[in-house]
Amino acid sequence: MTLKFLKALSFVLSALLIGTAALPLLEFEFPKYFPKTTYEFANNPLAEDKIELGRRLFYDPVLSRDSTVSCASCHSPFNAFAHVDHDLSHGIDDRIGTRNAPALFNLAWQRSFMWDGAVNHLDMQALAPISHRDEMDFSLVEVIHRLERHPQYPGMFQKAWGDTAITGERVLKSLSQFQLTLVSCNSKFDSVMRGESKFSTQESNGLVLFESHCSACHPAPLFSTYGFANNGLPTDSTLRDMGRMSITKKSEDSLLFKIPSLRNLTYTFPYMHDGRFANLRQVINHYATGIRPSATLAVQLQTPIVLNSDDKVDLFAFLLTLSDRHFVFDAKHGFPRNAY
Amino acid sequence: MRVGFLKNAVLALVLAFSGREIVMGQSVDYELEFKAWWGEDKLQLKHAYHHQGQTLQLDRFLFYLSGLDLLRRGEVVASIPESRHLFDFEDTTTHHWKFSLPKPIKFDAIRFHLGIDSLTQVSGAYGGVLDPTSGMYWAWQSGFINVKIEGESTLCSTRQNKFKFHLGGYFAPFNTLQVLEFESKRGKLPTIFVDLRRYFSALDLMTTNEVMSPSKTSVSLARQVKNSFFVRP
Repeated sequence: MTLKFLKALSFVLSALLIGTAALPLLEFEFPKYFPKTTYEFANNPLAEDKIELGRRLFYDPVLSRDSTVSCASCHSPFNAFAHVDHDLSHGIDDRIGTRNAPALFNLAWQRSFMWDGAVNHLDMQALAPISHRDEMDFSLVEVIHRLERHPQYPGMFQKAWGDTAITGERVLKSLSQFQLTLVSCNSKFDSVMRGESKFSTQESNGLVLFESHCSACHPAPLFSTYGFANNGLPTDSTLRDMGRMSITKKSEDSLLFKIPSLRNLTYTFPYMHDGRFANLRQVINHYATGIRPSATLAVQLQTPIVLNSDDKVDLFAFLLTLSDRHFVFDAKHGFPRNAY
Repeated sequence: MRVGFLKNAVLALVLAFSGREIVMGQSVDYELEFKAWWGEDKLQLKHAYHHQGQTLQLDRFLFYLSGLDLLRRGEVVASIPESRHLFDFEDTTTHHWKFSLPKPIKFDAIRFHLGIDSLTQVSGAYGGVLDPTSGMYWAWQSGFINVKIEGESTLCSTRQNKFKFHLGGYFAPFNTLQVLEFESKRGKLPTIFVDLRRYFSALDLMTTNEVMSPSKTSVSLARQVKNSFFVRP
């Protein structure tokens, strides 16, 4: 009896003292066949109101200087949070960036962000687009001033974080929370993994080819090691993008770019860090016949990949099983209509 | 009954605070004072100093400190958990690094980092002095700016003769983190001086005046900032 009372009292007191501790926390859910996450949830425990606040911020152009560009402008849910129709990202004042906006999903398993790994943590990622001249051309400090004067945000921060204080940490962690919920695990591949369906003969043939030619850099179930590699693309002389080397300054990192996941490929065209390939046929042809040798070329690509036209069709069939229609059309991740 | 309830309430309070290591009545508060100088004088911002035959003016001077340890005979006797401080010359309230110990302890030296350690650098968003709104975090590439020195000098042929030193970088070979250690005689904390004339005397402003990313130069400049710290005997 005493113990129960003590426990209850302690809980109430802790809740009063710590504020947010009493808010319901959520378990981060993902399939059993996925590996351990790399995001440290203990430093940013998921909560419904924080996720919702992050979602609202993600879709709100209030983050950009002239309130025209939101995160979703370049990371649209219908493209698995990538950007179609532009090889290079399209930002504020019709400015064009230098890289293809990557798809956003399964971020809890990624250790670095940006094509060159310039950003070392999901929490810090949003700083880059907010302040980049060609993207949102604003600053976190100015974003906060704007949110403080907003009719709804102070209340949303109160609900999510226990008081109305709007800090850089809270803005960034709320954005992380929403983005962490972008888990893609409902493609045909996943239903096969769960024993709910089977690959067709063509898809199975494609899987065999995939395993021998692609899976070293794009292993299941995330379909990327999320490491860096030089995949033999000729350098674009208008961009002169050296990739990872621009961060590490090491010559062995020249022309290495972050390996993207192959999940949701059909939604995330165009492809590669500079969006040079408009469709998957061009991508497969690149790996079959377009590899440009160089000192840092990935070891797996140093021997030519031989694919006949049937192989290409089979491989393509397998890659299509990685499209997660459920993820792309999930209203939970979509524009927060109820907020307006 | 009433006494029992009070006892429970006190116990509950202790439970609620148990993660914070608050020992009532015994904790000791400390203040480590930092003074910025230019040669023999107190530093002044927006003041035209004569330097190498030209003028030099400082507009901003900030640095991070972290990882404070107290030592006795070369051994660490206390580590101040999550000790981080942002010195901003313009804000005199930041000229004292305040910390407390749960109980009095004997020590004869203090040691701390000039800059933010690599674990904190890769652990996501923090609040307080580490909040990116402090202006000491890079947006385009992750990492804290460990030291920020900005100003103008006629030695610089840059736009408006400005110089900018944003010294950061946390991974090899461009790790700018520096370690500072000072004697603390009879457990009394020394006043720590940083003389920016020493920093500028060791560099050629005509050729090195805009350093804003991790590089070999930022590492050597961070070392020069470290060498500008001293205590008076």
